[in-house]
Amino acid sequence: MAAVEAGYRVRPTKPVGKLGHLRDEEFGALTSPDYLYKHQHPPGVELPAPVEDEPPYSILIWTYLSYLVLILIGHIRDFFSRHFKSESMKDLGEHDGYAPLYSDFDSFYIRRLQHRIRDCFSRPTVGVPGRYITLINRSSNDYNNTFTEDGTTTSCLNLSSYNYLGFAQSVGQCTDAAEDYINEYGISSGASRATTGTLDAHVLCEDVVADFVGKESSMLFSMGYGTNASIFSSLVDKNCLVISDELNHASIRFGSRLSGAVIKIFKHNDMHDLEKLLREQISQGQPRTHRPWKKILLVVEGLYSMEGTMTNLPRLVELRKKYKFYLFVDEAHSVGAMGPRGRGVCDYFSIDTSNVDILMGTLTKSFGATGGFVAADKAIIDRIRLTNMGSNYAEAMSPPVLGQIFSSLKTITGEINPGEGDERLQRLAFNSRYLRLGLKRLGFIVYGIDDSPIIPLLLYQPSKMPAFSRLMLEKKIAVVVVGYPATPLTSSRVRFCLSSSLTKADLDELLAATNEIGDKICLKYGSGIASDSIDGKPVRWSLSDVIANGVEDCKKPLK
Amino acid sequence: MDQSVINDWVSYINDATVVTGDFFRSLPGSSIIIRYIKSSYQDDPIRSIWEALLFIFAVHYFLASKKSYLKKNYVPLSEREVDELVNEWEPEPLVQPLQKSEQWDLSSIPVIHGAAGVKVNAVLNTTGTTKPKQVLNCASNDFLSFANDESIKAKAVEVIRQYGVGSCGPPGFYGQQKAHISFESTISKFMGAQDAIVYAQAFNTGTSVIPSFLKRGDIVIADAGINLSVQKGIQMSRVTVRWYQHNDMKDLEKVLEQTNKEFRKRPLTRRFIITEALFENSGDSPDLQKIVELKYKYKYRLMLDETWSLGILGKTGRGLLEEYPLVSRDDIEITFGSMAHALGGGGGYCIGSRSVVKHQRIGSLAVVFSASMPAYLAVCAEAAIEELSDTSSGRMAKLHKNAVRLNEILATANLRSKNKLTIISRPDSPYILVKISEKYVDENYGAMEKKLQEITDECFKEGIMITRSKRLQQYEVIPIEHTLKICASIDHSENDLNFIGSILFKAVNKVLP
Ligand SMILES: Cc1ncc(COP(=O)(O)O)c(C=O)c1O
Repeated sequence: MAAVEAGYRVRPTKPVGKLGHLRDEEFGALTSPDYLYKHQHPPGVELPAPVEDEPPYSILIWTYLSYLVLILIGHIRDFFSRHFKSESMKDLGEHDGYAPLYSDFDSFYIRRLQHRIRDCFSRPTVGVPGRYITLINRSSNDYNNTFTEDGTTTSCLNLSSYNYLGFAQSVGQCTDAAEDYINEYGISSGASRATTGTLDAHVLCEDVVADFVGKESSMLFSMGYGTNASIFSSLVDKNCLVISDELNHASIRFGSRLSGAVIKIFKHNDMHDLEKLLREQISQGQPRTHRPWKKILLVVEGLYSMEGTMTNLPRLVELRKKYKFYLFVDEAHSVGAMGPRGRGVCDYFSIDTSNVDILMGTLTKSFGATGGFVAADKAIIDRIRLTNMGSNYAEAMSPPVLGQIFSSLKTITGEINPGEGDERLQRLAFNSRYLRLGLKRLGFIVYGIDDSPIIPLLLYQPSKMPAFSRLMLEKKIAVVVVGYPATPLTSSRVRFCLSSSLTKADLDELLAATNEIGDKICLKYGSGIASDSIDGKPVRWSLSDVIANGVEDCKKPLK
Repeated sequence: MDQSVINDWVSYINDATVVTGDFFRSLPGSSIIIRYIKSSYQDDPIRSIWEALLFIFAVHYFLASKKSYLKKNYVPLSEREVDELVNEWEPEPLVQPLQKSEQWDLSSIPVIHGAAGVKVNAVLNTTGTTKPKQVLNCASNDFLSFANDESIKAKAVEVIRQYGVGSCGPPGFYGQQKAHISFESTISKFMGAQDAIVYAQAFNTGTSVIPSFLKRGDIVIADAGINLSVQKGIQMSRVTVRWYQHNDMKDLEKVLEQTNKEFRKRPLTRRFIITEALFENSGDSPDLQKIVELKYKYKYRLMLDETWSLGILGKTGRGLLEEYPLVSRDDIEITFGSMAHALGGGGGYCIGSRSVVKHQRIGSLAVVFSASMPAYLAVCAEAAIEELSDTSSGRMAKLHKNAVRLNEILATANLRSKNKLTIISRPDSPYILVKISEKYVDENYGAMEKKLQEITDECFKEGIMITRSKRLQQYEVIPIEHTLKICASIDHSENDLNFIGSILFKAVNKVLP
């Protein structure tokens, strides 16, 4: 709405493709069939480790120094605040026999570092988080303690929402289905799934999800985080071992700890480290007693949302055969977004889903819905239905969400509006590669594999997080910046989340903005090892060259 | 041994001592240590020897502790042996497939065709038919009938036409929408707190709120009848926990006193009492006034789970506090609860002071690492609260009337069938829990549940849908009671309520002759 009023974006004169019926500010129409791509990993080939570029050492030293200064200033401010008994320290001290509600040591980072850039997080929004997102304007007169809103909004290009296939919409068949479900089923089924909260719509939707991911049976939960929080307790106990990638999501860590199983960590995506750990654990058995483990559950994510890396599934399948562990893959970010048919990592690697014991995923990211699922053999799911906290105690999934899931999955498979699903998948694949290649050629360091729809661009110094975020906001582009503790101390980054709803023109606008800001705040650290360098010098293409060659070149291996 | 070799050694040791001595003396602060050693040697040479031994032991222990801890238990094996062990190892199946004898449990989950209103078309496989049957829904947590309210449904449609369905991101990353902010302000005003924060699921509210404040070394005194979500929150926070007998204020005081004595000498850590306003496991309420008195007396903070009480207890549905005019919301540091129960929607909330809420926005896992709740759920819950605030709506009055009436009917019928059941919940609550009386109790877990299922099945055949509570013993800290859950709704007519009573006891008399 606001975008159109602002004259910021005009509808293309000749929309191509199957999605002309959607709102332009939620889903931009395709302008050329060239902007489509179908990705697929060559079957049977292990995933090569992505080339990881590194900045000059001086940058890392500066980064450490920046943190040192920030921490010093933080402590000085703490000293004075404590001395003058400032309001902000009230919660941190003991008072009349009560310990502080939270410790000043634990909250130091938040009070003194994150607080300075609080305006870059939790920006309130209104409306659909689609191609554009409407931010509620706010400002702070007290150094980010409080924000005031003046009632105005800004429509920004959205590189921040998990909306891979662009199903965040207020019109179209999915929203229609959600509306129908509200009218037919109401807002809630009024109880947990195992008691009296199961609707025929749940059963139907579970079948659709199971079919979609290629498993016998599946189960839905009303929260993605909650799915992981409760699933491990149904699978493992204290005589079992959970082996977990070091970068696994907080919900996995929470759930596996809750299960009481012993947890061992291996280095992110490092198959040698994993194999070493497996050999050691199987041969040594349980600590102290040396009894053999009852079972070993290996937990990985399909696509890592902070890194853009993918799990090396082909290798894991081999290891699984040899070491007889059970494989659990969290497809939160990969289901829908990866694979030529959008079925997730197995589809991407052309691996039969029978090689993965438990496929878990969330419906929040690719399908514009919310909640999570677990898919596996029927015998496993039947048992889980009876022994899962999520099914016995938590509320069932709300009906309109079921409508959204049902219709979006059927759109991807082509049963609804044939052709639309493929267009969404292929636009996402194209957008991801086009932007990644462009950023590399401009000279930025990005992480992850070529096909990843998540593109982390490395900023390194902490001060560049707010700088990048605010400058982008001035250009009406909404981005997510992340730093310590969500990432290692030195690798603060901005994370672009791509979507099928973005057009090529949007990506060019983004490239131009990033290029300009990159020059302004000095972000082009690429050494050239991750892209073609003609003369051995770092690669620095001009924006116009990047745009002129990107469409063709992004369909080859990204260099 | 050759004399010259020994001489060499002696001179070598001498040299080494001199060199290290010089080196030591050149260190700053060394003179103090040397003076200390000298003077203590003068005072008491034996003590010096002891001290030296202790020092060596400490160094040895410090250096050895890390290594031996990891490796002491490690059996060195050759590659061949490891290969053999790998080949030999046979894991158990990931989960045990259901036995034939357990199949009934899965079949006991009813499937509702269409909306889950007060009259539902449902299939219950344990009754032997697969055709939907129209039954009276007496097991829904939607006591106030918000989930199928026409005006609320219209609101939901309006919202998805503005926001879409999902929020597509956690609150920190553009997932905090105007709808959430507005709901937070409405519920905090309604409940009388400074601020509020929403969670995407009710069950994972408690499991996340508790560990965000409580850490290892903190102390929790919790009611032994608390619900599973809170139990898991306590488990995840690794606090020192002491349980007091369910709703027993004398025991609570005793435990408080003991705990304070036990930890008197330790550094001061956070101390919380945790209880529930309307217990999920037993349907009763604590003496809040007394707990608040005790909390101040022993210097504890209070956490209250209002999951089942919002929209159920109190004249206007504001929860347990409404029954205690002398207790204010400020007496309770942290309150959390659910929009998925009496508000007929989904998600959870936590209310408290501004700093309690602010801390959770970056410190609570289920907030930071999960997509925020869909906007329409926030708007629907807000609409439900606005309806409760409007005293002319009469919903709460109707609910309380039906609740009291159903309890009366059940109590009378129970008396007539020789008290085969025991009603354990409060007599004025629409959330009714009944258990089988002592003399019919079977020690066997499965057998008890099966008996309850038979009653449920009989009821279903005659036209009412109730349910077993279906709690999972393997996760609960305290042995569970086997209960049936029966819920009164504002949509139940007087006839319906009488019908429930007569059918239930017909079934009970059949199953428990
Ligand atoms: C890998 C992974 N698992 C689970 C979740 C939680 O899902 P939800 O946001 O639907 O609660 C996320 C979300 O960020 C995730 O990245």
